[in-house]
Amino acid sequence: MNNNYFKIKDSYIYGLVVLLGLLLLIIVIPMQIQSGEPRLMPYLYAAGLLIVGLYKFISFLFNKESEYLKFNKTVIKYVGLNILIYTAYIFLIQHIGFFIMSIIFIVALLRVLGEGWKITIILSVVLPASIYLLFTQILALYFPSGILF
Amino acid sequence: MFTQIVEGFSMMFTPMTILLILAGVIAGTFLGAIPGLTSTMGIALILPVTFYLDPIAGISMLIAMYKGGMFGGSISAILFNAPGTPAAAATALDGYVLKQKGYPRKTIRLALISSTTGDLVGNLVLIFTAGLLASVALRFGPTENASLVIFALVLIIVITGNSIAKNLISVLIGLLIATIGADPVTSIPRFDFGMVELSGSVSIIALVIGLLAVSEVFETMAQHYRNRNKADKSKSNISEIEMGEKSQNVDKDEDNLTWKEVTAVKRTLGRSAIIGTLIGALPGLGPVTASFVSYAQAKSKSKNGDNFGKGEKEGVVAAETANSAVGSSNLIPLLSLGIPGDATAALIFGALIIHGIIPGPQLIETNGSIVYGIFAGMLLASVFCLVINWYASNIFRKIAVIRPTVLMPVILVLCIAGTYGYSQASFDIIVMFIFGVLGFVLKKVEIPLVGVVIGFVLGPKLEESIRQVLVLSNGDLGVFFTRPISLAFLIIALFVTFGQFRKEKKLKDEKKAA
Repeated sequence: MNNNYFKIKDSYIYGLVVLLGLLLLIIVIPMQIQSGEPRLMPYLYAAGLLIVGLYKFISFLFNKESEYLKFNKTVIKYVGLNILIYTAYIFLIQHIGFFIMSIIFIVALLRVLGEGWKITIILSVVLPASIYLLFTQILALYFPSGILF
Repeated sequence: MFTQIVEGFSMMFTPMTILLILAGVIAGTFLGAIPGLTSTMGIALILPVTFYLDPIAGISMLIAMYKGGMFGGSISAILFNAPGTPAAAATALDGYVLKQKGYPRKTIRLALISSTTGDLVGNLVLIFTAGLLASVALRFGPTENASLVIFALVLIIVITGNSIAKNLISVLIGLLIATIGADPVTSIPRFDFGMVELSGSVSIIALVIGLLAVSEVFETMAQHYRNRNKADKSKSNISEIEMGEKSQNVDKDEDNLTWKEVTAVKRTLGRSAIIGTLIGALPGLGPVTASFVSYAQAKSKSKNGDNFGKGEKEGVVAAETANSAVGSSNLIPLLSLGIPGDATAALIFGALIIHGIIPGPQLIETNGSIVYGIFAGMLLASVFCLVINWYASNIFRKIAVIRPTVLMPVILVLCIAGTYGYSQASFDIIVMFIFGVLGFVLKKVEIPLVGVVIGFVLGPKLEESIRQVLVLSNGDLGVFFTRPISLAFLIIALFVTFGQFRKEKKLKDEKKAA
């Protein structure tokens, strides 16, 4: 196996499903939903998750033939970086404003993706401007404006 | 009924609706043709815009986009052996070889004729059966409705392909997300975690844009980086495939599709259209299954069976006709029973809900003119798809080499604009982002997203029906087995489940033996 890859056993995923089912049944549902009928369906679905997860997890334990999911570390690293940029964009949009943040986001993402400056500059100005004008002038809707616009 | 049909058709024939259908076909073809982008993603993005349009215009545009996307997927499959949509994978088997032999235009036009035929057959079956099915379903009470939803969910879980356990997990996640918000009977808040924004329910727009568009962009990013890694070693991106494997030169006139060639495949056209329509009408199966089943059928029935995979026109016809027929017939369970069979149908379900129209048996009775208007829009979309794409076959080469990387930030910004534009709530942008990341993680661990979306959409109907049954029967669940229609749904669901388990076991044993 190449060092650039990491593997996750399929059985671990079912293990996580078991944990999710237990968490819902023991903590989340009792804390978040008033007792009685409203709890019925959430309990049924959570029990479903627990049963299917447990069944698959135990059958993997007995058969000892869990399949593996393979992930490329470099790919995950780059996608993670792109998701981080998107996260920053989403959280800063409330404070800085849609227009300016969209320009910064498009420039940052296109450069990380390896695009040239020409297309980056054109897209980063044309797209936010078109959306901004469409929403504010034609549809009369307003974006979060933040400190700028 | 006749008045509703006339009213629906006249409501559809407005300049704005016609223009939107045209735009839908072009945008769908464009998105479908670019590997890595799908028309489902486009529909999810456009969904909030339909709120500002009348239901016929908005939903016809979404369906036009889907139809365009179905055909668009075959363009890159034929030109670059890179199916623009998973459904076009079977088209690539013969389509790409035919292109290599020097017939790109002929193959694309043959795919277009096939796509239009499948589409029209699916449309007609939808138009003539949806009303009939709905009139039967009108007699359903809460017990039958609950069994019907259970039956549909079972089909989605056991026959969608991949692992049954993962399909079940995906549906359960969707059902659980549907319980967030006010309880449907008592209005007691559930899973609101002290946030006022969650006291209603999760916004369907935020959920579908996150799950079907944002996660798809993240996945395309991953594909881009994988290709870049490979390209560093072996130079293998689409434009290089195109340049590296040159096609034979054939006289331009020979690359034209003739009427004789179309009539020669009429049997395959008819058979594949029926296969696609039947598969599309069942929840859970979809265009991918339809195209491969139809391809295998055509191969076994054709006298040129040995030539399949080596550039056989019938192969392209079988795959394209069937996957396009699914695009129309998958609306049969949605419009007659209120059951979306795949992600696109779930999006159309969302569009109807946005307009305050509840999909189900009462739909044709209460909003008949809207439904017939949508049907008219579908027929017009098929015609536009044929005419535009027939003449546009020369420019497809340019569309299909557009790098998805250029469009990724555009789509991500549009996701925010669409989500915020619909609800004007910053909270929904965060919900959309969370579902985008969740969708990407689920995809990575091979848990399908279709189940989550359909579970979310059908969850309220299932809960409401079951709770009504429990009240009416004083908590006696035996009523599910004493009412004949309900019992029939449960028995069929049981048979399908056992059949699929047996098939899985057989495959496992064969794998072990090998």
